[in-house]
Amino acid sequence: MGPDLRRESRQDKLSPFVPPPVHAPQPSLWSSAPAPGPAPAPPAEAHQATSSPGLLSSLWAGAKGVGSKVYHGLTDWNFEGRDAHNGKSPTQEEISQDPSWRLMGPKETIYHDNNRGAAERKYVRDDPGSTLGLGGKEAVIDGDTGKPMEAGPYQATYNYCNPAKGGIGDMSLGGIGRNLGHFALDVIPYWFGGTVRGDEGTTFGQRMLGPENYKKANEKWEGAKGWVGDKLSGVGKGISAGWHGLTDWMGGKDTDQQHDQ
Amino acid sequence: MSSAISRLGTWAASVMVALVGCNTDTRIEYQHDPTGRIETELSLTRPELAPFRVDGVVAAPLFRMITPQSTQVWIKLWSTSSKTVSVRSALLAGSGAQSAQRQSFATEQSTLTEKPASKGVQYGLILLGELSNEALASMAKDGQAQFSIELRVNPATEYQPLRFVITRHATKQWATH
Repeated sequence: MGPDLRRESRQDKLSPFVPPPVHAPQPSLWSSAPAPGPAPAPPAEAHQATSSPGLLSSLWAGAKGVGSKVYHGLTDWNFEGRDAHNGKSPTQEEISQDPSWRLMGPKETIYHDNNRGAAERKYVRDDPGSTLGLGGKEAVIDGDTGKPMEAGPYQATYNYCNPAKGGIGDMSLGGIGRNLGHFALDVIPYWFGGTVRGDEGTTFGQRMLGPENYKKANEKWEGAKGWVGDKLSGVGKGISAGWHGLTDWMGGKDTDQQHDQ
Repeated sequence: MSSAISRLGTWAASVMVALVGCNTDTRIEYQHDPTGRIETELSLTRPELAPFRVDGVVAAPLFRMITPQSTQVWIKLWSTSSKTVSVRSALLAGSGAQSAQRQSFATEQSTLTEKPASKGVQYGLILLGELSNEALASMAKDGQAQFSIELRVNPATEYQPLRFVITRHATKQWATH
């Protein structure tokens, strides 16, 4: 970053007899100053143009750094905060000895299932020490190894608001509050940010539906596209055949008229 | 352009699948309704708890699915002071046409109701055993199963029989995170 000294020294040697330079492409705000080319040497204006983006790049990099820190601070509750609240993952043995852990069903577990081998098992329990006693701890056991999934995109995540035990059919005030709270505080943040910081492995759509459902939806869409394509192609062929028939018929009429004349 | 349309289409399909409830699950649970409410209400004085109370201790059966294949059978013992409780001759049986199906947990086990819950209520737990989800589903095919135990609160007293009607509950659950 910063001004290019080599370019400055070359610029001193510029004379009025040197042919006008070919203008180099302007770097964007996001790119750093380009390396100097062998010839021709840029004029003073070009120097101004290239040194200015260097400064802007520095500013941009600084702004990005500040933005990143602010983003980290604002999303801390969603990543590091959840890990801290959830604590150490219990083993299957520990879960078996504590009936406060409740097993979730297969479709309730889609966001924690790696879709490899045996299905993962997800357990939830209330956290009485949480704010208003709404929170809940989670544990995810790898279906293949039987060990807790402690890291990665399928790991257990603390719930700031556990869903209602009665499920989505719980229409009591508390039940509705819990389900809406869980959706707002735990599900939507996952859709947008993933389970762990920097979770670029999955897209918003995959997070929303779960990887397996997303794959199925994609297959259905491809099938629908193929079906529509076939239908449109058939309609197009029909129109084309009709048009050809019409033009043939018109051509025949013209010939008949010429014969009559 | 076609990539954008493709992406948009996938999104539309995703939203459709989400809207029709593809991410919902039906959870089957087996509960004893009168004592099941103690967990949330933490009250041992309700009149409907009288048939399940022995010397100030209320016994609540707890069916906890531990894996997709098996369910644990626990007895949760509630009291307002620490008491030594023993349980034996536990028997789970189907009702109606399924009454021939039985699973017994005969071993005698004891515990102390010393774990604090809240509102001056304490509890103790006894794990009676485990049975397959298939067997449990078969026993409660008609929506109910019968569960019985013998319980005593003091080693010097006699065992008292207790009977519970276990009800099958299906609840719609949404994918959680």
